Amino acid sequence: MILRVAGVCFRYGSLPVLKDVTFEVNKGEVVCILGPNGSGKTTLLRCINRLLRPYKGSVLVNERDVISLKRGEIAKIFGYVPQIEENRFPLTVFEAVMLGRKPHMGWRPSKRDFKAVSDILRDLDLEGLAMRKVSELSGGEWRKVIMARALAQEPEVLLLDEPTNHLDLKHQVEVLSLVRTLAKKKGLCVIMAMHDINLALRFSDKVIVISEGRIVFSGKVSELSPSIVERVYGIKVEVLHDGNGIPIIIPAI
Amino acid sequence: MRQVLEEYRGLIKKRSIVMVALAIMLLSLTLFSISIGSMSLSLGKVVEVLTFIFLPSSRRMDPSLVRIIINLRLPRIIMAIIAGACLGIAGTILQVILRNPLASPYTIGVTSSAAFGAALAIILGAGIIGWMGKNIIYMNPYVVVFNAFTFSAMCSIIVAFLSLYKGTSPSATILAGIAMTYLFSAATSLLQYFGTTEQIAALVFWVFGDLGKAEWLDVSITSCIFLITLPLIMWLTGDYNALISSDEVAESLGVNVRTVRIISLIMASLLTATPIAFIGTISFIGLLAPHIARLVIGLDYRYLVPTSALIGAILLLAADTAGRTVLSPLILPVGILTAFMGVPLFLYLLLKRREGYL
Ligand SMILES: Nc1ncnc2c1ncn2[C@@H]1O[C@H](COP(=O)(O)OP(=O)(O)OP(=O)(O)O)[C@@H](O)[C@H]1O
Ligand SMILES: [Mg+2]
Repeated sequence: MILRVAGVCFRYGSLPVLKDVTFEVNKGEVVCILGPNGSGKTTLLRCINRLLRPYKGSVLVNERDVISLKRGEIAKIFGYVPQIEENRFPLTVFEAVMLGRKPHMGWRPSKRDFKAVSDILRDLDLEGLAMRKVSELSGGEWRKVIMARALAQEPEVLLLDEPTNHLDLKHQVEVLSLVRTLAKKKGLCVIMAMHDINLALRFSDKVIVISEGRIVFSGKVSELSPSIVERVYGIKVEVLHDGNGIPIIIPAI
Repeated sequence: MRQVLEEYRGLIKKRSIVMVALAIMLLSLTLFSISIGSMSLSLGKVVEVLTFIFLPSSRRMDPSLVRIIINLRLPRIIMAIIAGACLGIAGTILQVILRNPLASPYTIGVTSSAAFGAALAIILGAGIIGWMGKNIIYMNPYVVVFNAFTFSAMCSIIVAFLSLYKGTSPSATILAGIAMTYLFSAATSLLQYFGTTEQIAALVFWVFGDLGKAEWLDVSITSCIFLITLPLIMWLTGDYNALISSDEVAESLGVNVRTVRIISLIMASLLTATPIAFIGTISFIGLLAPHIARLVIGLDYRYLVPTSALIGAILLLAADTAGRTVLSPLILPVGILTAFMGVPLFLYLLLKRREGYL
């Protein structure tokens, strides 16, 4: 599985948002996308699974253009966790995660669908909540359910838009570790938009920094230099090193 | 893991029990409803006559009794069941595709356009299938029926196109429906302005949904529409589940949101326009049945659609049975009863529930 984003340009009406975005993600790689608010991270993720259509450029999965795929096929390839999902409804957690089986499922869930859902509920430690209604969950619990739904799609590419939003310290680490393990074990491509730079760097192989819709840095985690961060976010930073070659970037106050 | 699956199975079992209970309720209500009327029968007698009708045997039966049941009571009662089921399902799918708990067949203008079609036939004598003259005494009811149906179909096609133009967003669809409702109501008022007193009376009479109008032919046509649309709607229930949250989520789960919306809009219009054309407008069933169904069965549309059909049927049949008994021998039109029963029930549901839409 290789995902290639080639020269993607996108605009909302006349407002250009993405300008010639090009990068590649290989099997088993975790890539984080950093960038200030409004830089185009969400838009990029939505162009990748064709929720939005770029006016130029293309997204290729194993050299196949996603434009040529049907919605159902796209849903088998891409699992998507949106940045916010406001509408909370009284479906049980079990049923909400079962929605993720939609692309694979016939009219009624099969043994395999049940197994997939219960495995994911176990992996994300959601078993205790399985029969609770989604409308009665805390913000973080709901976030995990959305993650579980995306994993239930058994996708080849995971698109995560700020997956650690609303999660406490422990769950942030747990969810990202799980994602990383899955990427390594099952060869998933993971692309995640993040705001917590240090958390993102810890769990990623590659970093892409975008600013005003353009890629300004793309490379290994250890290569990210403080000057890029300073330029993009417009504040002074200091860098500490934790010994594993992963920089720790903190604002200089 | 075992335990989670067990719990889910328990939930499914509970739902099946609820559905069976509702079916039993509908059946008993049906038998009760057959038994009452100008000639009231015991339940045992009802069962006896029904077996005679459906499994002809050599046993002798009072022919006038059999005639009353076949020609007067059964068409009315079966029409109540089928029309209630149609309206219940129409409301359910409209509420999910428009993602609005207050959506009902009224919202997309189907009822007011049907009334306009009827007014055109009754007041101007202009029918899509033939001219029927000004004398309403010789009115052919099928001219009115065909007009009502054609205009509601036309209205829903307009609404579908307007909504498609705006990417089928729920709010665009609702606005288009409201605009059509106003347009057709205004046009109906205009016609009424030129109508004679008798014509206006006839129109008002048409507008109150009345199951007494139902003939066997009407029952068969409505049943056909119901049986044709039901499998398609059941097939789409998985898509409805995905649509509960948002269009974005549904699409990322592989649902073709536009197609599902347009097909469902057409199905809902057919399911509303057909019974309404035959029996006149009936309020509240399409709004109320989905709410009660969600309360008793939950949000999974694979169960919710059949449940709201059952509840729609029970509500309409109960309303009509009440209309036949409260002021007996005077029979009140069911359309008035549903409104009187519907408002308090609906307010109760709204006030009682903290959450839970769609
Ligand atoms: N539906 C829309 N219509 C018009 N403009 C939009 C729309 N959505 C986003 N934009 C604009 O596109 C730009 C990029 O938005 P995007 O949501 O991709 O940013 P982001 O990097 O995800 O930001 P954040 O970190 O705040 O989530 C912003 O300037 C935003 O105002
Ligand atoms: Mg964003």
